[in-house]
Amino acid sequence: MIRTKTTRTRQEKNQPETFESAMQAYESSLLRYATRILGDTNTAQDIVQDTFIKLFKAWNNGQHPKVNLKGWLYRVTHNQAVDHIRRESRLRVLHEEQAETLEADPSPPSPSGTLSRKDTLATVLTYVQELAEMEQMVVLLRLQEGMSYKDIGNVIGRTEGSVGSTLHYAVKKLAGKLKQAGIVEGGSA
Amino acid sequence: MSCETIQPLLTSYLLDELIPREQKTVRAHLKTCDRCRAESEEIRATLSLLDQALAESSGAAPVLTEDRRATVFSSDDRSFWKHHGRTLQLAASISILLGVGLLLPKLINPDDSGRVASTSSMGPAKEQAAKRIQRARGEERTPFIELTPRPSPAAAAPDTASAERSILEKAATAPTDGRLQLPLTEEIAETLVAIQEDESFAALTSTEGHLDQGFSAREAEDQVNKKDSNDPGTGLPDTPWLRTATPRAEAKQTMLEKSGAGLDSIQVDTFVAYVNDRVGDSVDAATRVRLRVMAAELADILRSQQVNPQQALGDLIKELRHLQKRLPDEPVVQELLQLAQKAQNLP
Repeated sequence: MIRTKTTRTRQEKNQPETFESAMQAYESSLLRYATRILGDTNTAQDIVQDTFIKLFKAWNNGQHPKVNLKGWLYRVTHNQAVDHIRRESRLRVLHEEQAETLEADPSPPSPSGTLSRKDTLATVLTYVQELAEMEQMVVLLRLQEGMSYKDIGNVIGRTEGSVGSTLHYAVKKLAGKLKQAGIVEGGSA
Repeated sequence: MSCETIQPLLTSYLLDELIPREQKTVRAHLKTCDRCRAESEEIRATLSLLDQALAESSGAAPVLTEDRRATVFSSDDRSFWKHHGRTLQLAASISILLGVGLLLPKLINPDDSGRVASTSSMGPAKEQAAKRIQRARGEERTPFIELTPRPSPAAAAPDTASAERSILEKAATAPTDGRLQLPLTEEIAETLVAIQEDESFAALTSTEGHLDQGFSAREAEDQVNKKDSNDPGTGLPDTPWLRTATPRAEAKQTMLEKSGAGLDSIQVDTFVAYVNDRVGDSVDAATRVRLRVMAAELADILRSQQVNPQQALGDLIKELRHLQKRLPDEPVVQELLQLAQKAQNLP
């Protein structure tokens, strides 16, 4: 079982004092996160708006989270995004579209491995979007948003150990695809 | 440790997420195991690419659109009542007063037979109100206004009826030009302007009888605007200011200059527009919206429309001080703070 650091308490101490400062602090990162999950800027805007509406009402009632506000915001955004994905079956459609795109595009990596940097990074993002829902979220929360395993666990309702292993297997899956595509070299062993 | 134990830890190891003891164990294992080291390099390369791809695609920090921000800040029902409750309350009172005023000349002036004018052309709600007025004029002492629970007949009788009669007599003896002398105070005037400009209020009152007063405020307002030369008895004094929205240009008229003369004359919309116009471009949209909301709150307080103004002012000043620290060069924050502090010192 993976045991991870649990010392990230600084952010809990630095809770925003006002609703406005909370909004300012987390608006962009929540939008980025939601956009990445949903693949749609407008829907991400709707979902983040709803998250802040919930926070605004809670704040006015004095019932907003006094600790780990960031985790709360991500959890609300995450849950709404997941609901949306399930409701719209977006993930399935997305996968089908991506599969078609990949099949239709005969140009993945040239044998000589001369993909431009831009193409390489675009391919990486495509593979991220092909990950399972939970794997994708853990990858984004850790590598895009820089959240600790503990905070991610709070957001997705898993233990830190589970977050660590989910992330590892997601990264392994990506590494396998990147290796297959000739983007990452195989181990020298 | 075996490779099977070490390998699942490699991602966490590379992200420095393991506790120090495990971090050390993995590091030691990698020094001696080619297979795990190769695996580790593969994961490191993947993490590096992921980092670059995610960073590159993030671009400029996205923000909520202005209308979505506005939706957030207007989302709390309590905020609506906080800002409009007083208006609605006043509007209800006005609707009664105007309703009485519009109908009284018709109802109270007896015709040749000494009977009260026919109410056949009225709707059920108006007819009911007319009957109430008849009762109020006579011996039957039924409270006319039903905003509050109806008191028991015994308790209600003398004073209520006397007050009602006073209003009614005043109306009945109105000048012959039919203009009713109703107490249209400045406050009521402002409220009517607000009603005209407030779409949310219009929506609330769009259903007849919504306010359960027999006449909706909208109906009363329509009567005010109506020019019916055939029915001089229903006219009210010509009040163009009731129909004229506050000119936008007036927003430029600084409320701070006015504040010494009479804080209670402050107009919410004007003040909010003034604040909005003055906020510097460097202020982000969320703060701009919040400043507008704060301006409306402050205007409400200054118009004596808060139940506990000192408490509300205290909260506002606290928040403004916080904003002042963040935006020391923003004059509007400074002005709002000064005005709030000035208001706090008022009796």
